[in-house]
Amino acid sequence: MSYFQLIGEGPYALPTALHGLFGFLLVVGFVVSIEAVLNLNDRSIKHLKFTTVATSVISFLTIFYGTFIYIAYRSQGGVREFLLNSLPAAHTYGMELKEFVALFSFPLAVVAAYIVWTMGDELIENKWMRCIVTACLVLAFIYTAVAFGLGAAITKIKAI
Amino acid sequence: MAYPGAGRPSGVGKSAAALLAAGIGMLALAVVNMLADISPGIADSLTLHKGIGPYSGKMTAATIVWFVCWIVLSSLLSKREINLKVVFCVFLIIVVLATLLLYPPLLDRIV
Repeated sequence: MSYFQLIGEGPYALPTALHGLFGFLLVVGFVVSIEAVLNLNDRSIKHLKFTTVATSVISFLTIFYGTFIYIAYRSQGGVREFLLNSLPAAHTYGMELKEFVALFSFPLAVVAAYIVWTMGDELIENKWMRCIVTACLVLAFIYTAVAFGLGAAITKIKAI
Repeated sequence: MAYPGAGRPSGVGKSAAALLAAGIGMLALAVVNMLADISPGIADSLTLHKGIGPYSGKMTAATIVWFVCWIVLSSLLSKREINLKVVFCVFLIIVVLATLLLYPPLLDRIV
């Protein structure tokens, strides 16, 4: 299988592939982080420190590449124009929701990472703070999963 | 009586400030999006990048609100004893409100 068969052709092929890849990694990253915070102990706190920072970075990269390919989505003759002409609900109820809820994953991931690093080992004993970190990660997972699902569905209708 | 979750004031206060600031940033995104839908003039002024459109300004505005709130709240809350139960409830209310304001069927009714 050649590179172009795997990634596709055109100026937005690689950013699109990276956006999808990072989106997938983000979903996995949140699941791993949630697992770590639910079973928190002296050893897993180090694991949680790493996964929360990693998900913050991956979230930023997903948004960065997503914003980059958004230019192609909005361009003349692009996917947005196609959807508005043939299936306006996919744009209104799909893309318009996805493009904003996807952004929510970043502040939530950053807050989770910040709390884990600020509280340190104290997080193990502080039930409420642990509950807050769990809530941030679960919410971030839900928003990412919704955005990922809607993105995949829109790509099935028409790819960039 | 200690508040639920109260601990080392600086760590808990800073964490609470970060949490609330993130929620306010998310709400700011929803409000800016709503304002842009209501007024084409606002949408035009939010177009910082022609290719990305008003989305560029909405992201930038929300990010600025998030970081400014984080700095302000951090200086206000870092040395106080915090009731985490209240902070958590306020945060959840803000997040639900932000999500509802971005939900297209509801947004269409408001706009």
